[in-house]
Order: sequence, then structure tokens, then C-alpha cells
Amino acid sequence: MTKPQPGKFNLDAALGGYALNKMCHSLNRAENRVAFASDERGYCARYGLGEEEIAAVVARDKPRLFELGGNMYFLAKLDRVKKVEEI
Amino acid sequence: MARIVGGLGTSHVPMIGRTIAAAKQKDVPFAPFFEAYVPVHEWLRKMRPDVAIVLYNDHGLNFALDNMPTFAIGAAHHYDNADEGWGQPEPRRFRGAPELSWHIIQSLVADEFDMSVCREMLFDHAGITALDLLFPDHDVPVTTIPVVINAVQPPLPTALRCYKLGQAIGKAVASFAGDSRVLIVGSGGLSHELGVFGKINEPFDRLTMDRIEHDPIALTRYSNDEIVDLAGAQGLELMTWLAMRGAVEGPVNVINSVYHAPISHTGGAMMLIAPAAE
Ligand SMILES: [Fe+2]
Repeated sequence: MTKPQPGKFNLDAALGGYALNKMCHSLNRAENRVAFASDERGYCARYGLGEEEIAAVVARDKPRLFELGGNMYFLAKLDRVKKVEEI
Repeated sequence: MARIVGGLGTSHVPMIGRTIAAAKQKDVPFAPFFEAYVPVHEWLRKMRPDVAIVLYNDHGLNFALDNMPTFAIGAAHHYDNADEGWGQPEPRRFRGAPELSWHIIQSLVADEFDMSVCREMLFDHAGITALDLLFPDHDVPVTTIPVVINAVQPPLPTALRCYKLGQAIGKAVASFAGDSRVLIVGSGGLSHELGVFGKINEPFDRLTMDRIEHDPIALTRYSNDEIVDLAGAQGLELMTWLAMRGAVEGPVNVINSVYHAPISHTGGAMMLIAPAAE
């Protein structure tokens, strides 16, 4: 797998990452952020994320999430969950 | 006849909108950015545009990877804001201009720009922030037509294509029978990369602003990957400025402009131009 660079086309990133990005996009909604925060692993599994992806999400391992096809615009939604909890 | 009275390029980092909502424009380190809008507000009072065509990139609000148009345009009666992950915002509704939208859509498709047409569209902070900067009291006297340029999932449209889209929008407006006074807004940039500090390239940003004024074609010669290397991944939001400049073609006067870095993690910029013939 070639290392994806944000903003540039990468075939592996384009082929993968769909479920991961879809899950992150769902975090636009407050009720989904609550559901995610209460059970991150279960929430990710319901969106069809694999074990590797789930581990990277739980660890908020950004470099790894990028490698797995995470898109920065959707990963930004993941960042906001923590911020919402902190408020 | 409808005509374009001016074009605005502006940064839209969320911190700008939050600062305006809190009425803290004078208290932030990037206060000079807001001060530069004072002449813009004077110009708006004088020129009284009644429609704003807002070119911006959606940030994963209205569009997700299931269906990601390269170019999309709103044809709705109104556009609402929505939660982008920060929490439910105060609900806001922006009036559309569906007749002008459909006129532009017909003209664009005839000119071989195969737009995605949205009868509903959630209005991303990128568009709303630009309107907040223009109308800080949240009382928006213009109708709005959102035009979205994909910046989320590469491959993204080229700089030249975005410039030509702007030209085609300009042509469409000029052939509208109503007598709208149209402001074109390009909301994005300048140099930055989401979640990364230190991707600001001030010399490139300043060169970009000079080129937008004097020689936009020069900017269309950059490949997208070159723009990423120079200005960061979100430096590609420059496409919104290029499309704006395409719509306001020919010699222009700069009413006011400002460059202030950083605003949050971005090279903050604003430029208001008007056709030299105005
Ligand atoms: Fe942006």
C-alpha cells in the first residue's frame, strides 16, 4: 500500500476507507455522537469497520487512520466528538 | 439585465464565524482581518447586491462519499445550517434564488458543465461564514445560490476547470432577464492543511492574491498536486477564488484586501474586487 498524502489521489485510500469515513460522517449528528461515545467499538462495528480500523479509531491514531483510507474532512468529525464531551 | 457588481474571496475557518457570533471581532489576534471588512460593508451599502452566488467547498456536511459531485449547485427556496459535529447550532435559514438558479443551471449545462442540481442542500460553514463576514449582524439582505466545488475526495477539478466554471457562471448571469445585482463569493483558503499547523505559505498566498487581481490565468497552470505541495491539502480551496475570478472577468479594481496569518491554522485572506468598468 502506498502512503496516502492528504489532498492527493491515492488508489488504496480510494478503494478503502469507505466504512470508516461513513462512520465519521455520521458523527455530524448529536445523537450519533452520544451513541459513539458510549460504545466506540460497538458503534464502529455497526458501520462495518474492521478490527484494525476500530483499534485506530479508539486510539485516535491519525497517521494510521490516514493509511487506512481515512479522509481528513471526515476524520475532523472524529476530533469534534472529544471536544463536544469536554464542553 | 442581471449584472455582477463584484467578487469577494475570503477565508472561512470556523473560528471566524464563532468570533462574529460572540461579537469579539475587536478582541482576537486576527482583528485586522475583521477591520479590513469595514470598507467592504461600506461598499455593500453603496452597491446593494441582492443575490450572492457563493462558491465554496462542502466539509463533509451535505455530501459524503456515497455521492460526491465534482460541481453542485443549489436550486432550493432556502438553505439551512446544520450540526457539523460541533453541536447543534442556532437554526438559521438563508433564502434561495431558485429562478436564477435554474437559469444558471440551464446555461451551465448548455455550456457543458454537467452540474449536480440540489433541490435541498445543507449550507456548510464555508458558505455561511462568508455571509457572516459580509453581514455580521446575521441579517442577510441577499438571496443565496450555493455552488459547491469538491475538495473532499480527489481527484478534484483542476484550477483551469474551476476558472472556466466561473466564466460560465458569469456568462449565465449576464443573460438573465431579471435585474439582479449579483455578488460572487469564493470562500476558501488560503494555505493550510486540516489539523496541521505550519502549512501556511505566506509568500505563495501573497503571490496568489496578486495573481487573482492581475493574472488569474497564471494560477490555472498549477496542477492540483503542486498546489498541495505549496499550500497544503486545503490550499486547494483556492479553487473557489479562481472560480470567483472567472465570473468577474477582465480588469478589476480592488476595493479592499487583507492578508493575515495565522487565523487559526490558516493563511487568512480577503479580497473584494469590482469590474473596472463599474
Ligand atoms: Fe475549509
